[in-house]
Amino acid sequence: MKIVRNGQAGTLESGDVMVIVSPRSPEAGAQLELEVHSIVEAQYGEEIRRVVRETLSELGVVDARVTIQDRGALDYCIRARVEAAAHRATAADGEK
Amino acid sequence: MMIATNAKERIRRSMLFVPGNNPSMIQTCPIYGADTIILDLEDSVAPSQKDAARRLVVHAVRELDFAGAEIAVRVNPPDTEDGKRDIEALKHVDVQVLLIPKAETPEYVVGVDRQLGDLPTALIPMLETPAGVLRGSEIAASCGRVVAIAFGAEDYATSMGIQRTKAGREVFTARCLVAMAARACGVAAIDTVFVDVNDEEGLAADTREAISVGFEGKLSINPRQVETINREFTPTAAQIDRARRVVEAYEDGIRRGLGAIALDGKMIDMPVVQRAQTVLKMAKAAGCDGAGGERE
Amino acid sequence: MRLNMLSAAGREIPDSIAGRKTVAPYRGPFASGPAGPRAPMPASCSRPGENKTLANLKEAIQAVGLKDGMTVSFHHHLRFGDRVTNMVLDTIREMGIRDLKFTVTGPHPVDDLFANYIEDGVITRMEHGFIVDELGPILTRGLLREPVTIRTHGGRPRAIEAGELSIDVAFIAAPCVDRFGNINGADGTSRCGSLGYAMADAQYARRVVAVTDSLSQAPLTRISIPGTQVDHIVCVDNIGDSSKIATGAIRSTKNPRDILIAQEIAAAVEASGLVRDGFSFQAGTGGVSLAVTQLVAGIMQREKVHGSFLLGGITGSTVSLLEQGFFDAIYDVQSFDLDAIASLGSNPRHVEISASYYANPHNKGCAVHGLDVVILSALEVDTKFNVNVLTGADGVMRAGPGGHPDTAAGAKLTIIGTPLLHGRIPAIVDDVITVVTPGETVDVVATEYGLAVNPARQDLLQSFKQARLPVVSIQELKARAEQMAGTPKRPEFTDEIIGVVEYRDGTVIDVVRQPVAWAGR
Repeated sequence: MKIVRNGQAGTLESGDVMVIVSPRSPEAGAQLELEVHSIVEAQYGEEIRRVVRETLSELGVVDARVTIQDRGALDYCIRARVEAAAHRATAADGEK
Repeated sequence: MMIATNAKERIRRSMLFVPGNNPSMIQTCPIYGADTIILDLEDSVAPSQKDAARRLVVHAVRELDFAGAEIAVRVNPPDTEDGKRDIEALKHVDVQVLLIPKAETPEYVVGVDRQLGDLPTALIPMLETPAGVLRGSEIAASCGRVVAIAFGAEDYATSMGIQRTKAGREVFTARCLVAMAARACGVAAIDTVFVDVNDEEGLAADTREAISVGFEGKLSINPRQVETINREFTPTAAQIDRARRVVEAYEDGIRRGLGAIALDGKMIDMPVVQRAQTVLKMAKAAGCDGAGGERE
Repeated sequence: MRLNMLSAAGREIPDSIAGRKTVAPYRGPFASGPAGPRAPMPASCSRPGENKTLANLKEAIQAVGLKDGMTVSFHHHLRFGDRVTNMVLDTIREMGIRDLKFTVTGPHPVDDLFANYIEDGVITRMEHGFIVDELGPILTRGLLREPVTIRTHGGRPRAIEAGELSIDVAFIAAPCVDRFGNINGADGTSRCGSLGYAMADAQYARRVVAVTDSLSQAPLTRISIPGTQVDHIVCVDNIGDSSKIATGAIRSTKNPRDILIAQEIAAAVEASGLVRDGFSFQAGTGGVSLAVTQLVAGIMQREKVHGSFLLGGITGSTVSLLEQGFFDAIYDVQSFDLDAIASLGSNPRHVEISASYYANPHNKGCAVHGLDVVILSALEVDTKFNVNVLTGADGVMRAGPGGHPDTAAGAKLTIIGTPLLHGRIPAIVDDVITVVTPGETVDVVATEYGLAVNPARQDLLQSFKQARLPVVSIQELKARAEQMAGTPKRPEFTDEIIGVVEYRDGTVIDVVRQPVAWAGR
């Protein structure tokens, strides 16, 4: 899945997570740049990064900048928001 | 197509709407004791967030434990692009029931039936317009997936151009028609929401009114309403006792090969027995089916 | 070389801790009595016609002879409206006095200046009840010379009366004072109601300064702290911001999850059989507690039960139960809102009590020991029913015991109400980070996923099952929380002790160590 524009999903409400998926400059090789801010960073920071990477990999996103602002979202919600943001950031406007 | 065999038998006293794009409400909703949880993709989701809500609901159904509640989703109107995408996405997860908003024709429901193919998903069309209410029995009988029809009084009043009142005189006829259509087709009738979440007494009265004209369940927009609705649909100890005696007398009569069966000097015919069986079913759902403690 | 002992709550306690004469590990809720008689109260000499009023704080600080290394105390009845603490500390700093031990009776506001008092060396040691705002991070950085001592509402007056906490000067924010030095909290523009937590400080401090913005010309007829204990009076423009001293009526929750927990708790209270004539009850001021109070009143009305007393932090909703005749009396150690303050000033059945009478176990009696039921909250509870109300999931001190351990030990039925998750963080864990209230004093944990009963209370378990309450095991709750949220990573700690958690009897139940993430910050 190719990221061609900024895609954003989720909110900053308690229990939710706001995810922004954006394209990276084409010069550097393909990679995922992950920036995570979470109110539960100390307790779940690693788990959040694992879930985000796993979801992106399932979607076939290999080259993107992903910013996460987490308000204590559970894993199912993180997956759903990453998916929605990634689809919104693709040319096909996200829908299967 | 075959719907799950228990889908028709299932008790749906309280059906709780939960906004489909709100993770905190979705993950706490199983605690309130609603018989059915309706994850809503329609009215409670802004048009710009339909895609995000759809993905959230799909992941929630796949990954969360809803503690035994029946999981339903209210999709967007199936003749819209969002509605079609909703149904398509939900095919991949274990949703037991779809609520179809603003059903006005049997064909509308049949379209969803076809889209679902071999899946065992049940349907509850919502009758929310005069046209829908008047064709209630056709809609209820439109396909084998329909397990109930639900009345939506707010949209109904809007399309009638009338004001809603707490007493609900303006929707009384429509309610009766929906209940009659359901009975005529052997499906359940589910009543409209009661919008004033702070008026517990009003909710109880409104629920009793619905029960009195033949509804078997009620939609709810706030978790705080679930307990009241469940309580009103729970038969009293005297009703349970009477129903148990009716069923026992009937079964005894069958065993002894009697043609006419009587209890306390009154004839018991088949409709009386069926009503008694429904009472016992409701009692069982409420957890007061004879394990003791409920008789006062 | 420090040797580790084990408290009866299973925590390792070193045998010596900086700033403490002795370290006795916690042995059980009623295992440790007083070591000896009470400390002597100060005596003084007054002459006819003396005037207690001094011109300003500087004069008062000079008059009481405050010097480097002494201990100063303050109370928290003005809560987040308090201006006296900063006023006094600023004057002390200007006068160049340093190295003080600072002690407050409870949750107290901390503004940006507070860190400066510590960085400037004005405050080097603390004994505290409750950690709020920026104070947690300040203490966690290890900026004090000695670990902070954390005491309960009953444990603090006990420590003062035992001479373990020896106060040189008590600065008492006084909403209303007459020229004899008599003080009350029910009158004046900055009125706060009960002054219960300040009473032991006034009795035992070597010198006492009343700081007021309302000097009454008429002698007071209602007296919380008598002039026999007050050396000096200082008048200032304003002792507090009245909008932050007391809120309007604190309202019950509308959050459906919290209402559900409250309903479960009320049903458990009813099933316990304790709601009968002479019933006594304490619930906090949080949304769940207020909802429980209303529901319990409903049960009393239905069952025609007449209660004895309501205890603790008092709000308008408790006052209304007194006025409607549900209970004979309110014993008020802290008044939380305007209705409670007005009632304390006017209703003879609404009685102001001292913190010592409220909860000190080393008295010939205390109010919490007469409690039937208390409803409490928690940051986390473990599968041994131990409760942490001090440290957050990151190991930083963020709250405090208050009357939690006191009421839990005193009441016949102690129920902890908590949502299963605080945000994403499980409230039910294998081992709490810090034991503040020992599990043997906790009977029930109520969550939205059911009630867990302490296995020591088989009698309650039977009653709850008979009443068909949703009973689950504490292990099931813990598993459910982790299933929903995943297992949180727990903080790692250095050996550096930054806090000492005293049980109400003065033994050490646990210590707070510095999280590794905070070392060297």
